[in-house]
Amino acid sequence: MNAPTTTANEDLFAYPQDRACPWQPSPGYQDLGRQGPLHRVRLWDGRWIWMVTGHSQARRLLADPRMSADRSRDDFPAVLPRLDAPIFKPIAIIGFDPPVHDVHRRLLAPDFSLKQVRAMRPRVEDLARRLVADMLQAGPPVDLVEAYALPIPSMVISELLGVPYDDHEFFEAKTVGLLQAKSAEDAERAGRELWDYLDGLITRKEREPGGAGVLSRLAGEVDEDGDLTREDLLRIALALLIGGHDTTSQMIALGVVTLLEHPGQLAALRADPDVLPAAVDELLRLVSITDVSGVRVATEDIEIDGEVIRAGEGVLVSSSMTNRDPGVFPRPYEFDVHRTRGGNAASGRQHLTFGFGIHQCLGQNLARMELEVAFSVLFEGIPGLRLGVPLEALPSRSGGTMQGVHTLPVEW
Amino acid sequence: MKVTADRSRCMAAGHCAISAPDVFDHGEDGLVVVLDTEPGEERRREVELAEDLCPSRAIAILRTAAVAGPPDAGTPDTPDTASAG
Repeated sequence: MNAPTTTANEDLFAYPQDRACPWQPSPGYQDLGRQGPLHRVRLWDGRWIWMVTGHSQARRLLADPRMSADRSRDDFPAVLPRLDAPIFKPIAIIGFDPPVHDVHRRLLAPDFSLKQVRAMRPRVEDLARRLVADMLQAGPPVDLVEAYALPIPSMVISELLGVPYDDHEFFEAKTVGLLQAKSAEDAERAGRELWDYLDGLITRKEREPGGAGVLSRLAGEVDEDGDLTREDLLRIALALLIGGHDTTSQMIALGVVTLLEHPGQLAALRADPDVLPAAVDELLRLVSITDVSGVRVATEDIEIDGEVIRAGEGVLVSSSMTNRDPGVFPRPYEFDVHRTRGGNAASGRQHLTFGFGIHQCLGQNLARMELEVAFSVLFEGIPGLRLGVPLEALPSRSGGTMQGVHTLPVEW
Repeated sequence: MKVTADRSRCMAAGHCAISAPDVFDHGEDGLVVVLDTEPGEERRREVELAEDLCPSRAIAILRTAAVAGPPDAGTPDTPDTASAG
């Protein structure tokens, strides 16, 4: 339908572009943001889509039922070559529209609720303290990704889902293989290995009912004629396992980098632990770890602020840029843990790092809790923490949208 | 003010229970529960925040006929009173 590959597209801004600083959007996006809220950008396959950098436009579009998240549609844009892999096409929850989306989301709501997350907190604190003790015993230098940032969310999601943590090296490597693949073929290969692994795990849970974790519970609720087929469950397991550890681990890593590079802000956080929840949302806003709040395709013509998004046109909402809309966030490029001082700490939740609309991140409260615990336990346990290499030498991910570092060498 | 929450729209994001914990909570199913359907004016700012943050537009503040002026006239009367409380 859409996807015109005319020569005119070649003049458009090429998306995505790498960051020059780990916590700031690519310089090219910053230029776009200054020009207005809506832009046409060109993708790897020659197709153009809308890129949204305005906060209000983003919220309206992400909450608009005429915008589809259905990745199995032919007109749904593949923002990167790897996202063309069949395994991504019907990805559970994030890639479905109502009513299927709402049914699956509600099935999982109790497991990710605030109450559940609060109940998990003491165990996550114990885990973080154990990891810090291990690092202190090993001595510097340490790769903080491997020793701390990855094990926390990886163990937490394993326990929550009922996936054996003993298999973590396998599922962590395959997740990176899937999310960082250079081609659709490589992504598909890694994704299928995860799929087969989860298929075997769910088969074991079906044979031995009553085990712990979300997947054990849902394995008992599978009904091929009802709301949850076995294939649905496998898709949900895959989405939760992937979504549950990679983003959070990289947010811990880049959050630590951002704090270490802003000693005044780190000192302010240490001086007043009550600032922690607002500081976490400020870091989520600033770092915008996925860089994208959501990708959609319009199912009808949608008029927005003088522009018309036609049916069949793709839309990508930039989290890093909507999180810097000066109309919502004064001094938007500054890191300020006191941004919400005087107001309700929850007002720091206006960023779009977790998206908006019905697809807003299912695990957001779990992620916030893990981040609060990770930062507070780390800087309490290792007050002299510092980067082990210059900022410019950090091995950053490139060529995609998901931000992160391959390793994070630290000393103390 | 009168507050409603539509459980059929709720996606259990939890912003309302964080923004206005005396007004909103959630049940065992994770979905919103209204604790106080007619909170006092001193809660207006936090309830408006809950309404604004709700990603699935499940929360609504009903502007009754008794309130003079258009629905968006609520903003100017909040800053000083809310920061004092």
